[in-house]
Parts: sequence; structure tokens; C-alpha cells
Amino acid sequence: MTDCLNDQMRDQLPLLALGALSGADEVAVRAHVATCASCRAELEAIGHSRRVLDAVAPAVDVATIVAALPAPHLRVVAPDHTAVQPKPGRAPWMTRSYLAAAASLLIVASLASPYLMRMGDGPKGAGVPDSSVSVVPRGATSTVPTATTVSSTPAPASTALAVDGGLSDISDDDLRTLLAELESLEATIAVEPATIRAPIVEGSGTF
Amino acid sequence: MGEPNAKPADATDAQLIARWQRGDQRAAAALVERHAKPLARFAASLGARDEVEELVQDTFVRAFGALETFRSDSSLRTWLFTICKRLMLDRRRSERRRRDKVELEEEHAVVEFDALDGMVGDETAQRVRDAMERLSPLQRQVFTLRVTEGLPYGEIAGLVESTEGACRVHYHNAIKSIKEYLSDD
Ligand SMILES: [Zn+2]
Repeated sequence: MTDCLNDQMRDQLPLLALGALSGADEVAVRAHVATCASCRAELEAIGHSRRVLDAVAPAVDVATIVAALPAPHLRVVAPDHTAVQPKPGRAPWMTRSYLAAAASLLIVASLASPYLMRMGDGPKGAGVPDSSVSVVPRGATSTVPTATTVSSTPAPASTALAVDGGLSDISDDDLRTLLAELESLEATIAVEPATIRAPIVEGSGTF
Repeated sequence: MGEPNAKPADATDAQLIARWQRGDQRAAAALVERHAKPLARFAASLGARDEVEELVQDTFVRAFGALETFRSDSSLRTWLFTICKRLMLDRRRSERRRRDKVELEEEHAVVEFDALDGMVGDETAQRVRDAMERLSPLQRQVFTLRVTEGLPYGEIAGLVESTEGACRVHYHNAIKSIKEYLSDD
């Protein structure tokens, strides 16, 4: 049997065998194979070769490999892994939803403060990332950083932001003031997790 | 990009990497599951024998330790293959140093293809195996990458440090040889 001279078709045979062709490409290659004995034989040889190469590769234990992987350097990533483009004059994350989240955090922190004061300095929960939200008023100079940190022992960012009662005590005016104040702030969310222990099993399995 | 919360099996590599970076171990398992077998095939085509499993694990450990540096303009699989090949060459170099042997050309360092030795198969498989054992290491690597992964010649060329045209020729010589072995009466 003489070799097929249609290199374009022959080049696609491994892809056809893998099921990696679609649409017009697949139709064209299949139509060619139907009329070309050389390509049919080649396609068959490719199939046998794949079978042999598959058999050569030993099975690997996924669980053992996963257990040996290093822990990720945890970082805040946009949920869909799409880069968030910064808008001029505004930090990229300063969107409505972040503002709403920040407002909620401040309110919850304020409501929780009397309770937390009573708790005193209890031990921190194990494995809980050390997260904090730093709020820096816009226009603050770098030499005088007036950052306010909201953490497990919260303090109000400013008197205007203090909410001393329950949620029902906040009037519409108060809420507007609170949101207006938040709008005027630059803030940085710092998530610096404590070491995350991944199930590293060194010296186990085949090692 | 597709659905960010897709099931691990349906998610893209980039989505799984992002999930792993947020601490999701299932994403790591899905990535390993997806690429372990192709890596094992590639390692075997490089001439790795008993050490295939170890080589595959080392490749993943290296890769996950440096995922920050992975640029998605190439595929994750090709990147893993590159790491695997480097690790294999490192091993061969240190073996050579240990044996105090004369430095060999890297391309000829992996001439054996004994990985098929233990394989029991029918006559057809035996013929394919005989044909593959007679291929040059470069022909075998190119052929494996084309036939089992369907990689474009451009990517294969990058992996085997050759040219696209040369890879095309290596592939065609390999398949020609295998066809001849299969049609021998
Ligand atoms: Zn043809």
C-alpha cells in the first residue's frame, strides 16, 4: 500500500482518534478516511499505539500525590478568577457590594462590642485566619497614617460611624450618614491567614 | 471563562488553580486526577521505568509549589510536561555523576524504552511494542505527544527542543515504521 500524499489529512488522524475534532474538520477527515485505505490503516495503527502507550504508563495514586502537595499561599482571588480592572480614582474593590459588606461588618462589630467586652481576652479559635479590615480616611498623608482597625475587639471608625443601639435604632438618616462616610474612606482588606495545615503526609506511601 | 462554581470535573484548569489557591483541596485532587495519567505516559516515553510514579509525584509537587509563576498562555499540561522532562534530565545527570560515566549527549541519555518489557499483550500489541523500541528517543517522544495528547507540533517542538518541521518528520517516520511492523506477514 502506498502512503497517502494528503499530509493535511494525515496530520489530523491522531486528533480524530482522540475525538478532538469537531464540525467541518471532523466531517472532512472522516470523508477522506472512508476513501483512503492508507489513512484507514494509519488510523488503526494509531489506535493500537495508543493502547500500548496507555498500558505502559503505570497507574498513579492520586491521593498520595495530593497529600504530598505543598499548601497554597492563600490569597484573595476574584470568585471567577477574572482580573478586576481598577477604575481611575477608586480602589478596584470599592464597589457597592464591598461597601455594603463593609457597612454590615461595622454594624455587626458595633453590636457585638458590648458582648465581646464582657468576653474579655479569650483564646482565639484555632485555625481561624487572622483577618482584619483597616479603614483609612481618604486624603490621609503617608506620614500620618490614621488607620482604624476593626477586629475582634472593635472600636468605631469615628463618632459618626458609632452605632450604639440595635439595628432597629438606626434611622434612615443615620444609615445614609454611615454609607456617606464609608464612601469617603479608602480601605484595605488584609487577609493574612495563619499557616494552613494541608494534610501533608511525608514519608508515607511509597516514599 | 465558564461557570466559576462548576463541578471539579467540568471546571477549567485555571478555575481549579484559583480554587486551590483559595484553599480548596478538592480542586488540587481534580487537577492531579486530570493530568496524572498523561504525565505518566509522557514520563514513560522519556524512558522512565520504575520511577514513573515518583517522577509524576515530584512533577506535581514542583508545579504546585510554583503555580504562581504559571502563565496560562501555554496549557497547564504542557507546563507539567516541561517540569517532568527537566526532573527526568536532572535524575539522569545525577545518576551519571554517581556512576562517574562519560558525559553523554542529553538526547541520547534516555535511549532505553524498557518500560514495555513487562507488558503482556496480544500479537498486535507486541508488534507495536517492537516497532516503538526501535524508534529513536526523539521520535518516540514526538509520537507519544501527538498520538496520546494530540498536542500541536508547535508545542511538541517546544517540549523536545526541536523545530515544528522536524517534529512533523519524526512523527511521520514513527507512524510509518509502526505501520510496517503491523503489516509484516
Ligand atoms: Zn489518506
